[in-house]
Amino acid sequence: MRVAVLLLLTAGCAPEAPQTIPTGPQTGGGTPGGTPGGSATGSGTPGATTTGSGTTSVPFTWDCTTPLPAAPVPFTNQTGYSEAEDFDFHPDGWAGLVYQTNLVGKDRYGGTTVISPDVSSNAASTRVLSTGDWVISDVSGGRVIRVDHVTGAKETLLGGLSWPNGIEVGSNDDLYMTDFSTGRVFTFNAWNPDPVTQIDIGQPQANGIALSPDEQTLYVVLSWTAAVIAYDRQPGGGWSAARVVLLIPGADFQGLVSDYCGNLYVTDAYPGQHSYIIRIRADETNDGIIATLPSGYVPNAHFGHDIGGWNRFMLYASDREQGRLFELDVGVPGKQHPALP
Amino acid sequence: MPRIALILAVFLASCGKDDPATGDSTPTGLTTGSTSGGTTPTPCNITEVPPVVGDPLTVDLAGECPLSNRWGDFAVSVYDIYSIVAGDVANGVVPITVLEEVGRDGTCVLLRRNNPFCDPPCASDQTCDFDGTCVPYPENQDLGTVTIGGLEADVIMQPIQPGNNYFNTQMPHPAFTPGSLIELTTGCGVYDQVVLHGVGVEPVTLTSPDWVVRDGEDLPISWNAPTVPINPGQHVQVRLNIDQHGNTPVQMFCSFPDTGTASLPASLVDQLMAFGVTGFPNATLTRRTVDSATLSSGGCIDFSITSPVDPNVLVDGFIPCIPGGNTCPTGMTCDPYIGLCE
Repeated sequence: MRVAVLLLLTAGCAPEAPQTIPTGPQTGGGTPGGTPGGSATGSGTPGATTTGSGTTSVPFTWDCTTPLPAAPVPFTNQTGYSEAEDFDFHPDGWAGLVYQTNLVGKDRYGGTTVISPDVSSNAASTRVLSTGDWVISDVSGGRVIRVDHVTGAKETLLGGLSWPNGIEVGSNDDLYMTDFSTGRVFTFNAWNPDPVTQIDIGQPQANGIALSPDEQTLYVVLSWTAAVIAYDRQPGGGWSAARVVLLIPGADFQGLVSDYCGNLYVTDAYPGQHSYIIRIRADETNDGIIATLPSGYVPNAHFGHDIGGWNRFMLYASDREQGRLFELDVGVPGKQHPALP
Repeated sequence: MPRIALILAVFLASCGKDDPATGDSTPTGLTTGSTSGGTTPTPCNITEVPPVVGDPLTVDLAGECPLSNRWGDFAVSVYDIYSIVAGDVANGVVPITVLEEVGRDGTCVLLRRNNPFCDPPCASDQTCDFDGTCVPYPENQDLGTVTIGGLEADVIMQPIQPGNNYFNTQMPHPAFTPGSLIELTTGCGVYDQVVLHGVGVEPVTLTSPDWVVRDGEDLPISWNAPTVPINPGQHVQVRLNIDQHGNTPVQMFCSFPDTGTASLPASLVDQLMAFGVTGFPNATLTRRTVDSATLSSGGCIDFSITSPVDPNVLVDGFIPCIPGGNTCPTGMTCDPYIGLCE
């Protein structure tokens, strides 16, 4: 039955799916559901939903006046993913991540495919472009690479980086990035990388990065400073100086993601202990901890996209300690996925 | 024109290549990394996998390229549920990939990644060198047809664009039989033909999957010893990283005989910890054979047959804490920047 489900999902995917593993077991281990931490129902009513085939019949809307669920939010976990630093959801239904130097896709039911081999021996951000191709921060090579999602071929987009780290994909595949070592915050286009525009430099341990839904504000996490800073797009072009949105001394912030309404979710790391998901409301007020996860290292989180069982209303957070994926019912959908209409 | 002459003319015309640097035509050359494999040089415009002849137990394996001259590599890798073949070769070395040795004990070394800095930043087709200048980013080259024989299913690869990547992710799993002689041959490309060898390895598993790094102590490790005769060049490589978020992270690399047990020396463990403990500790143990050769343009290419596995790494003696909380042992205080007791 499981194989039939896997085949059915594959049949419904976009044409020219990545090369699949032809023999051997298809499972990466683990079963859906895992250990429930509570109910998995959302609040409010979506205006429209995307279908399982990835096509949207009507534009998706969400009423952002819908009250946010109170903390703590319920979550479940699914085993058998990986200790990758980052991941993203692809229109083909895979969660793509770099594992043992290879870009692999893992589906909701334990299936694994190799999208592209030997992409990086130390990868940070792994994101999907509007075309379905991938961009990856290759820390070991000091570069950003783009991977063709059909052929698996990879090429260097931008080299000469010290510690390429967080990537946010904006409209027109404009990329917004952080460099952990130099503290650079910069932007360039994934298809025309010149010019590279520097937004800031010297921000210590610049890590996760996220755009507001209207792309007028850029948020960046500073790991050891445990701060979230913001840059505002200027009417005449360029960006403002950084301003502090959140500061929690002693924390170790990692990843950052925005939902449909502009609320931000910050992940952090507490080695050997629990990690937290902190929510910052769209008006930039601190909502505090909304979930305490049984992992000492949660580097990133992303919203699902309603394809392949990845629910748009769920925030999925990666567990580097045990290779799990936490599914948090945060009650708000994510921003529109770059690769979906 | 007599048939044999026509064939010969076509052969010679297709195998001569202009040298990219000088524009002169160069004769077809053959560079081998190992000399006792008994391989007969083949025409570089290969259309089928050359027969693999030789003794896997005695074939010379030249080991890996020095990082300062490693222009590229190929590998056949057996993972837990899949096998792949992948490789590419550029026309130079990316400076940031040349790690600096900062410690050594026996067959273990500490290597540090230094970060070149260029201001203003380099253009997209450049990279930063350690003197702060921007240099052209090395580009992957077309090697022509690349074949790998001796596998469960032999491989013929053309470069995949963009980027002149070579790979095959539809390999039978496992991709090779332990103890089999494996041969890689490049074709008519930018560089002269290269022939490299490897020997199939048994899949590696850890008999001690949890590695606890302790200050002042050796780190003992163990894995499944080989059950078939092995080439003298077969070994186990260990990579250990406990400073993932360090600005100039240091990693330990060790090369051990493939006997099933080894020990990472306390002297280097202490030095590694002194460089810093940050982020998510991680390691890889790889059973492998490695051969290498010098390319016609001076760079080095290596060819690995590998079976890697990742242990669970813990760093003892570094107690997590919550700043402001009373969670550190007596006599220690919590560092707010890294959340560890000192």
